[in-house]
Amino acid sequence: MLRKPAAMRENQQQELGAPRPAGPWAGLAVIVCVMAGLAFMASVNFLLFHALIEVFSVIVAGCIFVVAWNGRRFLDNSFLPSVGIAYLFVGLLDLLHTLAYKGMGVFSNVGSNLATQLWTAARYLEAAALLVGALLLKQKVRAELFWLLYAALALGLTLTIFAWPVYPACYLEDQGLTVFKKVSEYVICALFLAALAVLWRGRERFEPGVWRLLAGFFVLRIASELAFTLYVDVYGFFNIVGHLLKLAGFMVLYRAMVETGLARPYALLFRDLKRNEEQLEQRVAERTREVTEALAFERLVAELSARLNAPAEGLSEAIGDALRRLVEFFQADRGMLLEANADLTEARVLYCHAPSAAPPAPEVFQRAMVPWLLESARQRRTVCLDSLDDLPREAATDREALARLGTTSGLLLPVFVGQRLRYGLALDCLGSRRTWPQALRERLRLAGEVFGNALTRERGEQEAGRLRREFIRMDRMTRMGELTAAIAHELNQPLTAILSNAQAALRFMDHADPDPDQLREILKDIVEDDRRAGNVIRSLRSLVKRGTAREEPVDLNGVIQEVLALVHSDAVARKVDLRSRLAEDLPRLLGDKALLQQVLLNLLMNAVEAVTEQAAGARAVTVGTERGAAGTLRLYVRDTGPGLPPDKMERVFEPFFTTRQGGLGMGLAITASIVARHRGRIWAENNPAGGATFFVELPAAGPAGGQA
Amino acid sequence: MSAKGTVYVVDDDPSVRRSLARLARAAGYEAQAFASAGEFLASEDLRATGCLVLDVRMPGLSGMDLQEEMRKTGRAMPIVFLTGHGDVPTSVEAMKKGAVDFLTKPVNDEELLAAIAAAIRKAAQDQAARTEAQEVRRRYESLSPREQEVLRYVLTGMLNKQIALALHIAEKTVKVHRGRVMEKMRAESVAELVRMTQKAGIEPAAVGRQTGNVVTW
Repeated sequence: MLRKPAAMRENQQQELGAPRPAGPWAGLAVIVCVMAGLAFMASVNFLLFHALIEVFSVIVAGCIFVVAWNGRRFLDNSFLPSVGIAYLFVGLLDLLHTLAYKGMGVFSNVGSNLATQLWTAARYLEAAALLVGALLLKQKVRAELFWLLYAALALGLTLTIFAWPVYPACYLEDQGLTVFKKVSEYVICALFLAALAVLWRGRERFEPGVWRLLAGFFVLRIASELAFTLYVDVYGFFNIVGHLLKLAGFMVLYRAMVETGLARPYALLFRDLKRNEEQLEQRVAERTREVTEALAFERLVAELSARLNAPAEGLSEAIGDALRRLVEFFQADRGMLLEANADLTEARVLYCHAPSAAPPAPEVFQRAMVPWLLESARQRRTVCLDSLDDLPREAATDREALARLGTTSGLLLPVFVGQRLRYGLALDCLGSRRTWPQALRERLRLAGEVFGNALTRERGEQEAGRLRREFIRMDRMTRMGELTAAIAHELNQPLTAILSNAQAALRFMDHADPDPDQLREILKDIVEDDRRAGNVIRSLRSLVKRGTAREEPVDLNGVIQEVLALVHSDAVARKVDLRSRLAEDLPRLLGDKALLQQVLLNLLMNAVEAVTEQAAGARAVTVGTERGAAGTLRLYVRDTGPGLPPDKMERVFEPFFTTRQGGLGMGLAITASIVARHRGRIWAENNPAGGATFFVELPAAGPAGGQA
Repeated sequence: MSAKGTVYVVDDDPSVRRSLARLARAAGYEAQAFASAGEFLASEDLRATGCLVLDVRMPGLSGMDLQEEMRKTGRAMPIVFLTGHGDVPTSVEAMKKGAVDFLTKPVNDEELLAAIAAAIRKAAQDQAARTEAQEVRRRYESLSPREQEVLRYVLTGMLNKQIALALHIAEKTVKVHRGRVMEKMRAESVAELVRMTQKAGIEPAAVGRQTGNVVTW
């Protein structure tokens, strides 16, 4: 992301540089021509040649000062201020040197020594300033200090030359260059080299082009100084060469500092600024990415939280889906929701979202498998592993377990409910290392809480569902208990018939001439009665079965007939006239047969109870089926009992509502809850001729369900 | 076979009553099956000597109701009760009212047939007793009103003298009447006369406080 703007800036720089003379060769040619011209001028008029070169270097020094001084505020180091301020004084010394040059006639009675002394002084100052600047490349010192330092140095040097002539002689008319002068040049070269070496170490702080020019400047300056050790005459050949090299050096310096400083200030002066800006931009980009990710994550968590609070589908599906979304958001390979048991000896995997290729995760993580991870979770620590190497030495067991799971990088977030560690959210990568962003790690706690709430709620719902199912079953068992005698009778009848038939058959066989037709009839009856007993047992079994509700196509009339078979003898015993009016060709409905039997059983037994209050001849219960409105089936149970109090028509379906003594009042409430589960509706009406009728309307199964 | 008697099976369960009737037939009885007490009462054939095999629990009139009904109308018949479950109070009541047996379903054939045999025996005895009583009644009705009166006084155990005193007639006249009563009733002794008339339901004369003085002879 950062690369591109940088490249663009590079382009801009080249565009800005474009107006310069076309190509480096043309510029070089001009320089060579100027050099040649100057060399020729030196042979004609050395003084003019010298003055031009020195004035040029003085001007360059001045320019450097101007650029450095005015740009100091943008710099975060003291190289340029040090060098710039020093060059102002170097320029002044050079000017003095020029004016003191032999033959200039500014100072009376001076030979070549004064100019040479000033020269060496200027060079010392220059080299020292460059070294000081190089040393201050990475720090910033107040510019005023340089003023003081260099003004003092320049003044001191000048005074030692003019006022108190303690400055050693550099040129003696009879000896030429003194030892001091030669040694000075070497010292100055050494200083230049030292400065170059120091700068080389910090070269990355310069723009590459500027650094190359700067390095060239040092090379030319060193070459120039070496040339000055060789001349014998201040008008001599090496003197000319030295001055030409100095000129070249200052031209290069001009390019490096002045031209760059003016034309492309960001390459020199604002380089730090620019770099700061780039760093800033990078930080801003990073921060933006972090914030964007954080925002996206918060949005995700908010969305998941909303979905989990009001799931369109089942809560379990919503949790599974939320886990998948989280895994995808973190670009992890696998996600697990774990539930710790009460004594934290194991964690059960409640949900797992993993690619099919992943090694299968165990259903339960025993404490022995991952002791360190469990302990970390207990201490509310989120474990983040960029790789398994991040695990401490004592987690060797955990490491082995994780390696078996294929985990190469992972994260485990403990989720506390109250003060207890209840759940864990685990994300991991299979086969790659990765860094888990710190900011998101913290936000993950939010997701953990959302999952924690959802899982707790799911637990509650499961528990409530279990209790409800158990309650319904208990109601059924109670009904069965009430019906025991009747059911025994229903079984006893066929058994009686079978025994008597069989024994009759045995006796017929003993007769002299047994009638085969009669025996056949007896056997047929035995088979029929055995079936009948079997049906009773089957009805019973479906009523007492435990287990979750199943949806299957159910024949309502069949359900009624089975229940009637169970209730029949109870009705007989209570002298209740029990009849059925079943509509033919009824469509099937989708539901749980046992629960529907329970509905009918409750309604029938209620009705039988109700009519028992009447005189023996007036006890009638009719159960019937018919087609209801718009694809529904209707079941009704009509009795000739006392009817329902009109103001309590609705309340009869409330739990613990009973009109009879000794009744618990749960039967109709449970019946209503079963009907609701079958997307049906239940209501009661009083009959015009007395008694009450309970209606149940249930949606018929679609054509497909009917066929099944 | 009809000599053994008829078994009337009353049970609302068609399969059960068919099997019970079959068993009775296999044992050599005549058998008739009825789906309800009402049906039985409507078609009861009292001419045949027989017994009832009766289910206690039935819609409409129950077995116990039928027993009561028959007793009330004097058409009593030996009854073998069958019940789905042994219900002690019901069985005690049924036995008190003259049931021959009270059996629990499913019933073993030997048990049931033994009960039927006993019931049929009782039916035969009842029949014989009924026939004897009818004969005694017929003889009693052939007596003149005065002879009947004397007979009823004889049954009280009074001496001729006492009877004469009670009827305000001569002792001799009582003696004549008495001789004629013994002859017409074909009784060899007063003891036989008492036994005979008891079976026919002929009550002794009401003699007020004097009945306390029982005289042996």
